[in-house]
This record gives sequence, C-alpha cells and structure tokens, in this order.
Amino acid sequence: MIFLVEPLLFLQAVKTLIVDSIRLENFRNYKDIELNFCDGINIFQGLNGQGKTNLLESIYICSVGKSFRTSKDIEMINHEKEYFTVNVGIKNDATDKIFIRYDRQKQKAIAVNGIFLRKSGQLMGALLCVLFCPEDLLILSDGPSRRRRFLDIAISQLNPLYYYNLQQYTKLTAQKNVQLKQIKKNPKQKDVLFVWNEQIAEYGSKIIAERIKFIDVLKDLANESHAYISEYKEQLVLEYENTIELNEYDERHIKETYIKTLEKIMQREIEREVSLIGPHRDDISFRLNDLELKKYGSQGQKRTAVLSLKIAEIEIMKKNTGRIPILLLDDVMSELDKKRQEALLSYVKGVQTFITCVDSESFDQLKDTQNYIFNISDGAVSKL
Amino acid sequence: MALYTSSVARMIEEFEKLPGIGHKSAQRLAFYLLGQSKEKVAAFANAILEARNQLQYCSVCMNMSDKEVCDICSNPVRDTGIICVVEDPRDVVAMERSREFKGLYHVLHGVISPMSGVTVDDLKIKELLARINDNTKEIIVATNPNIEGEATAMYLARLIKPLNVSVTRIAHGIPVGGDLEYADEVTLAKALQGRREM
Repeated sequence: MIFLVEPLLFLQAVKTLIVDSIRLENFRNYKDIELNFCDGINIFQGLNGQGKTNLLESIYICSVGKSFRTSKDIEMINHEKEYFTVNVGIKNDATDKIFIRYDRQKQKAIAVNGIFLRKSGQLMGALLCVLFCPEDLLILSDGPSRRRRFLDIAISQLNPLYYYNLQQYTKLTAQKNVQLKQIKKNPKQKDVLFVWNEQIAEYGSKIIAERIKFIDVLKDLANESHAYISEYKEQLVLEYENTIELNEYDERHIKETYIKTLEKIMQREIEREVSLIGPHRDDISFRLNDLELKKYGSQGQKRTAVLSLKIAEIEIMKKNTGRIPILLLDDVMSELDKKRQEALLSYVKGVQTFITCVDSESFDQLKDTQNYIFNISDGAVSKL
Repeated sequence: MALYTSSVARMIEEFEKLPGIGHKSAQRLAFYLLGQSKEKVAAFANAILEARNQLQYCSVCMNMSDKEVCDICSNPVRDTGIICVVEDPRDVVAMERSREFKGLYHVLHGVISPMSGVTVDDLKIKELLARINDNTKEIIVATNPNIEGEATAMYLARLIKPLNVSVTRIAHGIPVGGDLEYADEVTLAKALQGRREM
C-alpha cells in the first residue's frame, strides 16, 4: 500500500498550500470576476443569496472535481450561459494552476498546470482542501451514507488509487445487483455470480483496509482535539464498523474473509436481490465517554465532535503529504459558540482559510487587519 | 413551429442514433447528403444496404466475414492450437495489425453485463467450447481490462480450465514508448501487480 508511508517527511519543511487567485466565468451568479487572496483568512460577507458560498464552491470543485451542494454540475452554469470556467492559481505546491470548464453538453475538461486530464479522478490530491459546512453536523446524526462520504472524500484526496478502487467497486455492485435479480428469475445464472463477487472482494478489501488505516490515525487526532475543546472532560472514540467480521486488518486477510462471507450469504443475497455486505454498507461509530454520540450526545457535543473531525482531517493531510490543505468554512461560525469559534480560529493560524458569514463584525476573532474582507452583493465582489 | 419537414427530422434522428454523433453533427451530415445528387445518395444508401445484406459470421470464429469460413480460419499457415478470445470484430483488426499473433481468433460479440442486459447465453461461448479439442494448447483471453471484460475472462477461465487447456490473460500496464512519469497511478499500480521475473 502506498498510503501512510511517509519516509522522513517530518524532516522536510511542511508546505502551506495557498490559493492566491481565482477567476470565474459564468459560474452561478458570477459573469466574470477575478480575485486575489491573502495567505491568512479571507472573509466573504454579505446577505443570504448573494453568492458567498458560490465562491467556496468554485474553489472546492477544483479540489474534488464536483460540488458539495449539488450532484448536477449543470446547476453551476449561469442560467443564461452555455458553459462556466474556473481558474485557480496556487502557491507553494507542485500544482500551480487548475482549470475546469463545463458546458451544457455535459463536457467537463479539467487541466492541472495546463495539462488536460484524461479522467477527472486524476484531479484528486492536486489541491488539498477541507470543507466545513452546516450540513457536516449531519455526519453524526444522519444515516451512514454521509459518514461514508466523509471518509471517501478525505481518503481520495490523499490517495487517488482509493478513488479509482471506489469507482470500480460502485460499478461492480451495480452490476451484481442486477445479476442477483436475474438469478431470481433464472436460477441457472447463479454460476455467473462469482465473477462479480471475486472482483468485489478484490476492490472492496482494498477500500476497507484503507478506511481502517485512515480511521486509526483519525481517531487519535480527533480525540486530541475534542479533549482540548471540551477542556479534557470528554473522550471521543471512533471506530470503523464492518459488515464483514474481521479478526485481522491486512488486505489479504480481509479479502479471504470477504470471499468466504460472500459465499456464506449468497442465498440470502439472491433472495433479497441486493448486495448485503461490504464498504457500501459499512459505518463509523462515534462514542463520547462510552455513550453513543448519535443517541445521547447534546447538540453542543456533536458540534465539538464534528469540529474535531475536521481538524483531524487537516492534521492527517499534513502528516501524510507534508502539505497543509486550504480550509473552507461555509457559514459555520454562527453555528459555533464563542469557545468553539476561538478553538477553531486559533487552530487555523497557519492554514489559509476562506470563511463565509453574514457580518464579520460580529466575530471578534476575525478583526485582524491582515485578513482580507470581501463584500458580496448580487454577484459583485468588492474588497474592503 | 416545426424546424424541419418530418422526413428530414427522421433522417436527423437516425443519424443521432449512431455512436459518437450528437444532434449538431447529425444535422450537418443530413444537410450534406440532402445537398448531393440523387445518384450519389443512392450509391451511399446502397453501399450500406449491400454491406449489411452480405454480412455473415464465420462459422468457426464468429468474426465478420463474407464467406462461410473467414480468411484467417481458412489460412493453413496459422497455428490452430492457440485461440485468442476477443469482445468484438474490431479487436480482431487491432490484434491483426500487430502481426505478432499467428493463432486463431474467437469473437464473443460482447461481454457479461447484467446492466446492459447481456448474459452469458448472449455470448458466443458455446461455439468457443465446441472448438476446443486435443489440438488446443492455449486460450488467450483478450477482453478489455475493465470490470465487465475481467468478469467475462474469469467466467471463461472457470469453464475452460477443467478441459486441461491453458488459459492466459493479456497483460496490461505501461504503454510501450510511454514514460513512467506520465503514467497515471492506476496504470502504474496495475503494471506493478503484473511485473515479471527477469
């Protein structure tokens, strides 16, 4: 595995990624704008519906290749236009510019340093970023798919191969589910099921192994941060919850167990016509002082836990890549109380941060003359 | 308001069904043909019809052919002990261009894909099994290296191995003449998995 190998990385200087400019054309409510950013905190302030989050979104798609607000890329094209483009300029990294163009024919072109990518998955890791938005609070209270999504995006940025394995796994599961339906109609087709199961075990075991490794590091970092914010009153414990019972966590063992389990439950999968086990059904459990956070945690505790999770995500990127990611905070300041705001902002010193809020005046911690403040009003941006 | 007469609209629709043709290209092709003389259009239409009418499949390898047995299968110089299994006739053309392969082919006409409604019964697998005899030394499975191609290869291997015939899979990895630094991570990882002793 390529992941988590960091020979002497700590001896090298850690590089802080800086997005120093952005140019948008026909992106949501921006016809054509160009902005330059500072290395510290960049604040986008304005009333609701003026386009603050659109700016974060445009940076985010240059990192992950898709939006955090919509699965329909077409929504990001200005409704009067045929296409959008985003150009992002980056300092301090191997990547110095990223370009994305998307049009109404659903053609997406992505270029890193002027070279067009063959697959959009190759973008992963070119610009490391961590996003924190109000919906993230649902990671703890919503269903497991949100938790898996959190894991998948975080790991994909660190390891593009993980993203590829995940794509393959998703396709395989889709094929297998249709196959299961066919078997129910025509039991002779059962002879074919193994061609999906074997590949699913191959890719699925790689995904599980990576997730377990990731959580192993994440849980200590998240607990450290949670303990700090809660003034050492609370212990946060994360655990990966497998739908496959495992004794050991190396890839080979996972694969063997995976195949055996698939064989054992084959009849049940045929009856239910759906894949019942694997990474697409796994979950993460969060416990606070030994109680299940989802059921027993207060709103405040959940907020602290999610905040700690995000801080841990930045730390893990630092550890694994030697690079400090950029941080996007979408309207979360108002969601956090003073103490947590302070904890977050004291942490982000040294991390380039983009913040959206209605009015930066209400946050004492943001009153630093070094910060750039942009007023956003109906697609027009003016720097204060 | 109708933009075209209904016959022109239908023609454009037909073009749009072709692979790689969008609405604009379809419109361009249609208007180009409509601008030609009736004779030229008739020659064009006839060429398509004639090719389709004369099309048959080689009774041995299932490749497209204009005879009962195709030129490759009836060539006495070729090694009948090795059969290379491919997804479709275009792959035979690609393999032949290499001039490296001296055996015979077998065209499956697809790969297993439940989502596209293709099952093992839709593929020319029975015909392949019928060709295997004491003379057969090796079956090379050259389906594409994607999940459906891999699935089909696995299925074939399970069927054929008990017949005491060696089943091999084509290698995938770094393209020849390519530089390592330009290969993507996935290709490199696959190439590493398939490395060989020197």
